[in-house]
Amino acid sequence: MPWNRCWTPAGARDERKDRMSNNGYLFAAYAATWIIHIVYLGTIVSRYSRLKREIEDLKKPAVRS
Amino acid sequence: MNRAFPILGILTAILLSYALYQALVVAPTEQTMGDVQRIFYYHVPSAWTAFVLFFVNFGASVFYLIKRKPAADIVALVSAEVGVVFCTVVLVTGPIWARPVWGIWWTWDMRLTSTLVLWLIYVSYLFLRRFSSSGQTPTLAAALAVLGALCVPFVYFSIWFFRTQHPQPVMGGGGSIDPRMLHVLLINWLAFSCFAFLVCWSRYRLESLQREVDQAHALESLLDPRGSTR
Repeated sequence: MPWNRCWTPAGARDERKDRMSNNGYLFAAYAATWIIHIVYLGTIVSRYSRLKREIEDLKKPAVRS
Repeated sequence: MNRAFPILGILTAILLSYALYQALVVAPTEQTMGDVQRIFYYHVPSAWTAFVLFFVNFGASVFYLIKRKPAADIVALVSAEVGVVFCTVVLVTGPIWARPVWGIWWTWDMRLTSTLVLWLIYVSYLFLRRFSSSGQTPTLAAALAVLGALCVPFVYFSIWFFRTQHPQPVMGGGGSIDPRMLHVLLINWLAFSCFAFLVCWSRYRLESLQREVDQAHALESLLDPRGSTR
């Protein structure tokens, strides 16, 4: 079966050899995933705090009247 | 509802940490690709989550076109936005996996190209929502979403219908996957689905609040046109 149809665990010898290979790409992919999610969550938080300020501004004239 | 959110947030954080541990430590190393195959545990669940969110966007858009309920319009907007974030993860992690395995970052293969087109369709949907101020915007966006959703099954089945460099489906496509790998894959999908649900929930609340504030501003400027600075 071709490599892209059957994914099987490595044997003990292969596992030792491969464990250290390509770790940079693995780290980069996981880091990129979380950076994308954290940046998006950051935009939600900043939009929420801007909205809170707008709500405070809306309440001010009502207090004065 | 407000008390449930932090509890669900903590549970999702625990689940995501457990899924990360499973992906990096518990899942066996793949025979041909080595450790870089572990990218699969983030890449594939992100793709599935994006597809589910685009499907939700489709359902909410159809519902909005029939019933004209503003809540359906908000659900459509939120699911498209979070879906684009997950699709971005797919488009970033895919090339990072392809570089060591294929020796190239990108190829104009059917699966990769159709995923990029899908991402561009939903990004244009979000641009339409963001920059159009017409009252017809939700209707136009819903129509675009219905057309965009047609692209989702095309992306999914493209590896079955076309000769492609992208790996074949390891489940249901005649391929096979080690049960331990499948277990880790499903745990990661569950964790990312819970995370996506929480993000959609908070984004839904934000959008509802934003619309209420916009209505209050409109009312304020109607009642006191001279005093309004907006």
